[in-house]
Amino acid sequence: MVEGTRKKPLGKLVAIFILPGMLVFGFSIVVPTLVAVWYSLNKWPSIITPQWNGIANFVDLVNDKLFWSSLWNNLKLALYTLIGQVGIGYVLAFILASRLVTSRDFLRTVMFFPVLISTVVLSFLWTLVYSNDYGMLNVVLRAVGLGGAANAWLSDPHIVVEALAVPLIWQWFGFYMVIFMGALGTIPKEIMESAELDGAVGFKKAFFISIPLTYDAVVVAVLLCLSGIMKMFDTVLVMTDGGPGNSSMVLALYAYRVSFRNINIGYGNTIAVGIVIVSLTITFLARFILGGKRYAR
Amino acid sequence: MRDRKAVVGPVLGNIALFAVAVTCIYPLVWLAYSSLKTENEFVRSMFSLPTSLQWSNYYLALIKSKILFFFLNTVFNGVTTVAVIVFFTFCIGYFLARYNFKGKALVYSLLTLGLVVPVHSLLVPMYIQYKLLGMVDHRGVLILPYLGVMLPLAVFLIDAYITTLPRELEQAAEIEGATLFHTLTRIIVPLSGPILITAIIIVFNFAWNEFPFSLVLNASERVRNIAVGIMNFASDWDTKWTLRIAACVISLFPVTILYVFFNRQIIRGMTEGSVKG
Repeated sequence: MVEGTRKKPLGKLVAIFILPGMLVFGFSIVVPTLVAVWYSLNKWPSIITPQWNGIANFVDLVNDKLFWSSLWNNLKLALYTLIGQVGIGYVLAFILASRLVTSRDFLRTVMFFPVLISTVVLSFLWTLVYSNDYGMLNVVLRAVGLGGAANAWLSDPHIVVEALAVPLIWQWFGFYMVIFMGALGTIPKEIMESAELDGAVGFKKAFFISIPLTYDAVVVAVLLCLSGIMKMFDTVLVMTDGGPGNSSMVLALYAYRVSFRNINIGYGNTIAVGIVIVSLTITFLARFILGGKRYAR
Repeated sequence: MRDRKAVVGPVLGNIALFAVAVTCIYPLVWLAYSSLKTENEFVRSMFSLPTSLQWSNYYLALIKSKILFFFLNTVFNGVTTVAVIVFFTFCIGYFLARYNFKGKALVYSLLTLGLVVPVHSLLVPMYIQYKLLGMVDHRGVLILPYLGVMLPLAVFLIDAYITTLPRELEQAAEIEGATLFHTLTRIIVPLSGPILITAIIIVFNFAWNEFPFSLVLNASERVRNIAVGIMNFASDWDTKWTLRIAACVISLFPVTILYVFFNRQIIRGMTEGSVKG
């Protein structure tokens, strides 16, 4: 054992190694969390001084239709991206695992690249894809004779959330694909071979061998995807700013808007605390449903 | 019959995969050549190639729209963040992996809190906190929220990695009379090379692309990063699509170059980072 044999006492080592980093960490995460909780209990509209308001803000929050419709948008996005990112990622990883695929590494490298694009560039790029007058999507639709389907995608309240989901799927499916490729790669060859000898090929092999053996990776992917969507902020801010109207509003953007545009900082913090509670609940529920024990190892 | 079937399937599969790959890469190729068109050409037809290369778009974006300046700000943020975070995470990760001490559980639970709290919901309280302390719009303050976001992930990675290293090397070094500092810098750091590279990649990529914290804490022109710069492009100087596209290409440039050379490390680093975290 290394410990105990050093000349310096343990307390001093803790102070040197752990304390500086953790103090900075506390300043940047723990303090704002406490600040959020404190001001969420205060009435603080505009420039007047904050006033203690008890749980009244939270009562407002529960009755706030926009909060729930924002949450609904988050959940819709979560559903789409779960299907799109995790689902497509899984299917592609499966196809790529086949022996008959050529240039696997090249495909993997290309499909992963969108992950590295910044939100702002991604959003700008897709704004150009969706643009009504000269957007790529409409140009293509008109060229193939589907001009009737051309749309002002980001200004149509009925389609805007779906339109927002597509760039998110495009950016991240390669990421989940790589995770699943890793998981499929860890299945021992012997298992695969003996399964094939027993006549399990194609879908049979997928359902009885590959999917159960990669279940843990699927759970991790679902949780990652969910927590990513609950944090969703910048893509929506840049592409639609929650509009048209509030039809594509998401939770974090709502908190931001109430605080910075409506300058209602007390209530903005109430929303922030609400988001933390809702996301933690969803994450724990997902973990519980999917089998938390397995994930926690 | 059977033979033909056996050929058609894989061929179709490969074609489908390549089609997906093209959709991943074409938008970027499109950004690259569109940035060299004149504004008229661009508005007339989105897909056409430029008839003559307008390199002046880059000059205008870099200098007139100050993207060069924002680029350098982002480099500053990235480099300082990487240096500070990797130093802190190495210290904490090593110590958590090798020592038992009072408060270890507290450290773990604080770090876990950092992982589960949706950080962007903390933008508002963070702004209040930084405003009260007079830290808004100062160069370098972004290190703090970046550290808050990245520290837990990086610490868990390094902790897990160092736990797998054999203790015998450190014990031998100690018996030889090496100080803790020497053991760390001569033995542990070199052995932790791969995981440190992973941490550097994750943190740098995050800092390079980061947008919300910069928007709230570092929006003024003097300290603005490239993401906020592109976001505010229209209001800054002139609404020209091609210039803005050029700015996007500039911001993608460093990441793309790094990716060409280090794509294996980057892919491994980014997936490993989030799965283990």
